[in-house]
Parts: sequence; C-alpha cells; structure tokens
Amino acid sequence: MNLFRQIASNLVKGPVSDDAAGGGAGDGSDTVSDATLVSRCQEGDYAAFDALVTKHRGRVYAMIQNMVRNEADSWDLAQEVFVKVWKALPRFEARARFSTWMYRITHNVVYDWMRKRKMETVGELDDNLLDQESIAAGALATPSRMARPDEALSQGELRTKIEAALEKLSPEHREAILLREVQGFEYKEIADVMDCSIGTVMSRLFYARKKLQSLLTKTHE
Amino acid sequence: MNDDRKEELLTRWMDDALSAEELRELEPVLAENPDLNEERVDYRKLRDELKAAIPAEVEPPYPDFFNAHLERLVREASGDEQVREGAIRGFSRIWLWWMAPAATAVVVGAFLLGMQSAQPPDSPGLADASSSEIYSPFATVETKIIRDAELDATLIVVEGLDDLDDQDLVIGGGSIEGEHGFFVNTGEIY
Repeated sequence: MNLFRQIASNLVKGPVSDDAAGGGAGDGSDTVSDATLVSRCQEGDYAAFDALVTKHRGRVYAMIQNMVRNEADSWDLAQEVFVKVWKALPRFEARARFSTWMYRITHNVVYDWMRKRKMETVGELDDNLLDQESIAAGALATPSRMARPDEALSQGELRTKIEAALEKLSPEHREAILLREVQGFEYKEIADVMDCSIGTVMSRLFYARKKLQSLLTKTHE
Repeated sequence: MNDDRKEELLTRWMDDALSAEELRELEPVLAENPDLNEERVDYRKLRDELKAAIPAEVEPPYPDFFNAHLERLVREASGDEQVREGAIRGFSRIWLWWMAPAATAVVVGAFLLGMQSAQPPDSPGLADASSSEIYSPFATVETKIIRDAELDATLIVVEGLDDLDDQDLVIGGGSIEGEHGFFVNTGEIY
C-alpha cells in the first residue's frame, strides 16, 4: 500500500489554478476551471488530466456505484470512464459543459456494462404492477398517505430502504432520479447525458418519483 | 390536456419550475386532484431524505492508487490502442488479489519480526536481498534468500544443517549445490 501511495505521490502534478478547486458536476461554478484544464489536456498535459480526474472521480464513482451496486466493478468502470475521457478529449468541443460530457461517457460505459452483464431486466420493477396501482398523470403518487417514513428511523435504516427502493427502479428511472435529485442536473443536462429528449426526461422523472414514493410507502406499511 | 403535457407540468411543478402561465394551465388538474398538493409536500421530504442518504460524491477506494493506475492505463492506451477494456476488467480481480497477499505479508512480517527478536543478535536468520523472506526456527541455522531478476532465479542459502542430498530439497531440476548451501532455481518445480 505504501508503495502505491508513493507511486501516486510521485506523479508529476502541474500547477493547477486556484479556481480549479471545489465545485461539483452539477454546479456551474466549475465551468471555467474545467475548461482551462480541458484545454491543457488537449495539449497533452497529463498533470491537468490528473487534476480533472481528482476533481471529478468522486462524482463519477458515486454515480456508477449507485447504478451498478458493486464496489469493485464501480472502481473498474470509473477507470474505464476516465480512459475514454482522455482518449476522447481531443475531440471535445466546449459546446457542452465538460461535466455533462463526462457523465454522458459514464452513462455509456455503465449501460455497455449492463448489456454485457445482461442486467437490464434484473431488479427492474414490472410496470404492470404499477398499472395496478392506477398511477397515471395527475393521479396520486402514493397508494396510501398514512405511511410516511418515520422521522425516528435511523439514517442507516433509511439509507438502506432508499437504496433498496432505488435498486427496484429500472436503470433509466434510477439514473434520472440520481442525476436530478442527487447530482442536481437540469432537465436539459439529463437529456444530454441520457441521450433522449427533454420530454422523455420529464416522463422518466414523473414515473420514477411515483414509483419511488410507492415503494417507500410500501416499505413503511 | 394530454398525459405527456400533464407529466411535464406536474414534474416541473414538483420542482417549483413552472411559469405563471404554466401554473394557470395546470390549475384545473390540481383542482381535480387536491391530494396532489400533499403529495408534493411528501415528495419534497423524500427528496431531502434521498439527498441525505445518497451522497453525490464518494471517493473511490484507494484514491491515490486510482489516479496512479489510471495514468498507467492511459499511457498504455495512448501507446497502444489495443490496450483497453481487457486491462481494466482484468484489474478488478488483480486488485482484489493484490489485497490478499498484502494483508498476508503484513501478518507474516509481524510474525517474522517477533521471531527474529527471539533469536540471538548474531544470527541473521532473515532475508537480505529480496522482498521474499525465509525463516529458520533454529538459532544455529542461518538462512538467506537472494533474488536474481535477470536469471529469474532465487538463491536460498541455508547454513548450519547436516549434510543433505539434493533430492531432500529438490523435486524438480534446476538445483546446484553451492559452496555454502543449496542453490535452488525457483523457475523449476521444487
């Protein structure tokens, strides 16, 4: 472990401007610094890329982990994302925000992995079940109002229940919820990441929220 | 109003993202379903819980190593377009396998240190030329292990034993009896 840490600490890191620090993927404040780092990367500056990786790896890893639910695979997939980012950086044009573009690559890597693992249908909630609950536009999201998550529920228990409910969503619904509610993306950014229309994003969010409420309500009943 | 439009307006209503005009458009729907207001309140609570429970950012395990390993992959990929997923996928298992010997090495190291302290000070007993280690339980027996990377060979020197036949130590070939003990070629079976 020390050896690896030593290797890591020996990486040559170029000067990174102060504005490169902080900021999240869903936060517009990092756009300029990302643009600067990207520009340096495009000139072949690996130190700039290392800084980009350090800045974004936590969000990429969290997103992947919430999608694939496996630490080792998430680690590998996050590595794969950044290798693809590096290779595609020369073609990146600043029309989109870097973080949105990076999440798009993350999306593709995760879905490729899911296809390979034939996981698309595993854990997916059958939409017919939801039909039975008469969930339609304008209808009640939750079958019953009496079961709100208990305020006294411990954070750990709550997290477990929420994770379990997320896992029961289809990958598309889960991703839409994660991008919107956890990562704080705008509808347009979600559409760019998921390669779909804004209308589709709206629909996915609408049904994903209802499913999530329904699942968590059932859990507490 | 068709369902697609309802879904869009309700989704944005949940997020407080409707314009005044859109809100007016949605009002009949809200009037027909008064429980939607309560539902929105509930969802906002759920959203807060979701944000609290699911972090937006999680550092990968061994973050420094994450960058170091990535650099190696990137450099390989830059030099050889064929180096890609195989290396990455294979690594996950390597990574897991790497942790096991590392943990074992720590335990063995601690054990050897303990045993070494029990030996007389003038009895080396432990390796001096390689990351491998060999331990002799007898204070009168000295052991050394020397690794030669060029020859892909490891020299184990054991001094203080009664004379042994080569066959006592070596099952396969590749051994030569040296001046101070037994030379064992670890490239062979023994």
